[in-house]
Amino acid sequence: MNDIKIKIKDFEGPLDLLLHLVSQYKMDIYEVPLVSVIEQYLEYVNSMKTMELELASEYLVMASQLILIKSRRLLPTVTDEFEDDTIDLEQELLSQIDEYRKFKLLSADLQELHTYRAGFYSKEKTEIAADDVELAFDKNSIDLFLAFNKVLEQKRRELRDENNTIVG
Amino acid sequence: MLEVLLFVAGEEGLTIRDLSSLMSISPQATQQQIDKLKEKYENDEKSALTIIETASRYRLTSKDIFKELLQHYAKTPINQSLSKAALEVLSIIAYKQPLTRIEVDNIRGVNSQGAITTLLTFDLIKVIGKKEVIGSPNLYATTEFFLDYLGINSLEELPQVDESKLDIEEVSLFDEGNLTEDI
Repeated sequence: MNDIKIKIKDFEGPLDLLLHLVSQYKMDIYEVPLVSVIEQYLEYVNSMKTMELELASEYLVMASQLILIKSRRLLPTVTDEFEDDTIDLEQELLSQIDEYRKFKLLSADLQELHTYRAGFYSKEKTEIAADDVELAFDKNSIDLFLAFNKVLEQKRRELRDENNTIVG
Repeated sequence: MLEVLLFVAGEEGLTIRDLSSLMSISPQATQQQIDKLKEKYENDEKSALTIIETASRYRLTSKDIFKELLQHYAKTPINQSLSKAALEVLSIIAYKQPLTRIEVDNIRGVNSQGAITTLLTFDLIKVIGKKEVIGSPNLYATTEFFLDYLGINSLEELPQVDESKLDIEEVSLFDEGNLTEDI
């Protein structure tokens, strides 16, 4: 477990990383020993820092939440209320991971649907100009601005995504 | 008549209502004609065309056996795939719509602004209003193009979460994790 060879870039944020760690226990999410998952997470984040890799701020926020859970776990139970709060914190985190997992799987399903749809190509709508058609003046300068902006933005993104693929 | 209308409409497609009023026949008769034309295309091996129904519109498209050939050539936006982040955000919006950016962020645990901008530019999602809370944030929902993008006709056709599948996926995720670690 000490070897950390997956790049943090491969994860879509702290929940994705936690999901990965939790899934290594091969059991129901709600039965996973949370303290060891927390330890792995902190170890992971730490080693990322020693390797001076860029770390999204969300990972650090999650780290502090996990430290809170872990420290409450280690403290002796003072009152029932204290105990309940700790359990609540844990349950909230677990259900967050569970919810995230659901959408991670669903997004793979959507990708599959899209891949199938993308196999069908069609042509652009044919613009037919007829003499007796009158222009409807329903577009103003804002529409024009937004339309052009959209084309620019789309191109920019395409270029950026292409670069990302090369680097990745 | 049907064929030429679908040809001219191209990727925009036409609804049954449009078609039946243009051809002045009943929707049922239109449906029959569409089915017949589609069958004709499918049975004709020399024809490269077919008809698909997405977002409740009929579109004249190429058969999917030509996709490799056309992939080299076309690259229209609908045939581009999205980044992992954008896909996650899209699926969250698809199932939970309408919702705000913060709500998406909470589910993913990361900021989703970039992905949302991408989805907005590709017209897969749109702003449908404001939430009545402090700061009145935008509410996002999917567009009609989203249905076309997935090749479905309504949101009800979205795949459901299958709990039994979840368990299997969990195991396979584990194996995958191992693989990456071994490298």
